[in-house]
Amino acid sequence: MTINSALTRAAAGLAVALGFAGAPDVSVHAADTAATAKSDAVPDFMQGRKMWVLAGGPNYLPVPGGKLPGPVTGTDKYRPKITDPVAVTDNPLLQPWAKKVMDAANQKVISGVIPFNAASRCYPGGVPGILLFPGEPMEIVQTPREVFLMWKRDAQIQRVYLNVPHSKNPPYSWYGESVGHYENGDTLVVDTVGLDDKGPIDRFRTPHTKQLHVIERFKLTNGGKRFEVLVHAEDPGTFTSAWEGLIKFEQGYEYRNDHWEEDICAEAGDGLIPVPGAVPIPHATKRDF
Amino acid sequence: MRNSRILFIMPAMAAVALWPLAATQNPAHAAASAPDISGVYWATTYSPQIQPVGGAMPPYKPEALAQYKKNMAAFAGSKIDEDDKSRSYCLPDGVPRALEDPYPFEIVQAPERGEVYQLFEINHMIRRIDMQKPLPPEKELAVLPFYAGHSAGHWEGDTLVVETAGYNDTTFLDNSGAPHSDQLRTVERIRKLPDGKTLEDVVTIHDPEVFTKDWQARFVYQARPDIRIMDWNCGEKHRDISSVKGVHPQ
Repeated sequence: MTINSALTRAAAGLAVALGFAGAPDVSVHAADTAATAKSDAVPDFMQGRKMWVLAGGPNYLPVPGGKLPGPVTGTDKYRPKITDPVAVTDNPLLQPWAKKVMDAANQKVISGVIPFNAASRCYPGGVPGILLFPGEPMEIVQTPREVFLMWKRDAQIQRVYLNVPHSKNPPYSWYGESVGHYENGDTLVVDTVGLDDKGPIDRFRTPHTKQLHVIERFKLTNGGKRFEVLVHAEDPGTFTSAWEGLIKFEQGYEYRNDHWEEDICAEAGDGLIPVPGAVPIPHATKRDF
Repeated sequence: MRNSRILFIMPAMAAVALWPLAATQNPAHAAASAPDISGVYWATTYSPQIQPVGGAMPPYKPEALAQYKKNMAAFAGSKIDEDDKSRSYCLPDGVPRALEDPYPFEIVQAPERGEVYQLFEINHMIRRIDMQKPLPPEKELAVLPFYAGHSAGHWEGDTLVVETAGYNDTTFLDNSGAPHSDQLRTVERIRKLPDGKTLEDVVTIHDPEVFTKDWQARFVYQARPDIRIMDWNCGEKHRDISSVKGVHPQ
């Protein structure tokens, strides 16, 4: 059974239900997805065994014709002395507490403190932040029941469960709970809740609460040689409104980016190459068993 | 590294020639007739010491046994030995250690890619099994060893046969400190038992630097369609594994 035939059968028999009790209000987006879920064709994000690399830089791009505000952005005014990202915090998107937290984080960076970057310090990259990690490629493995977004970087994985509703009370975690479906023969829609408040949204240390709800629309373009991700984020505990940003990927170039290799982050971590002033990499001292 | 101390730089042993090579692989039938063994599996019992089939101890060479005894002493107790990087920094466990861990894993079959994956919850290790190509020669694998090794697989009836070499030599064979060298090669025969709910993995271990002969271990797991693999971040609280017999939470 091919993935297309299997998914066609699965999609024909299953209703996509993205809303659930206790989740943030997604009524607008749910209505949108229900209206557009016409095609059950499966876009091919695998492209053989191709790997994908970030094509538009490590920050969100503006959404052409977008009607919602964009995400938090950064400033270059402290360059070249300070090369780490510094956020622009007088953004009406931010609630007062979030602005205060970001101002404090900015001051540390401006004073030379190495900011925390989850993926760089071997922590899970979170949703949607991991999409903005620029250093290494990712690949997308599609099966009839699940889609796996696999990053070469530290073997991180975001799992997307297809054509099922969210759990009633998904546990909070770095990658949360992602459910998804295909639309229009070219798009994978990924709806994620259950995100704890630790995973990054961007490189500007924008905070969020556990109310964060992210909808990512992965759309194949350029005949399958590229895809873009429309990121829609809502967090009534942090932002004054929903916002959207765009992320672009392209097929990796041979040789190193067209096939999988292990790249274990902590292998070159504090134990071997200490980074003075940086947040220590994850470490355990007590056995689980 | 305690493991590296038993890394003897020797040419590949002639015994490798007897190894069941992947030459019998048939990429054409891999996708067409593959049994479905995909899903989440979880062991119901756990032992820190890998248990050879029909024997109490793996057939160590004397110097390897001496090393193992040192490792065992270091691994004992509730505090993690810093040299055990799979526990202190959550580096991948490697194989076969990951096979005996008391956390679930997921098998993913992607015939369109010509691959099968074994995705482990513990330390989020990705193990990739190439169903289209045989293993590269030893010299190529030695350039870029993986914690999970380099794996090639094929189907023999209802059984997935996986040959793995090119292992990183910094891992251990089990949770008691059983050592291995970079000469480690494994062949696994993975199948669902007739009850349809139990997965069996019989692994043959070949490491002429460490063992006097090849030997086998057997692992069984229960299909768990009711659970999902969880995120893993080193040092954080993970799933409750107290239901796995033999686990003694620290």
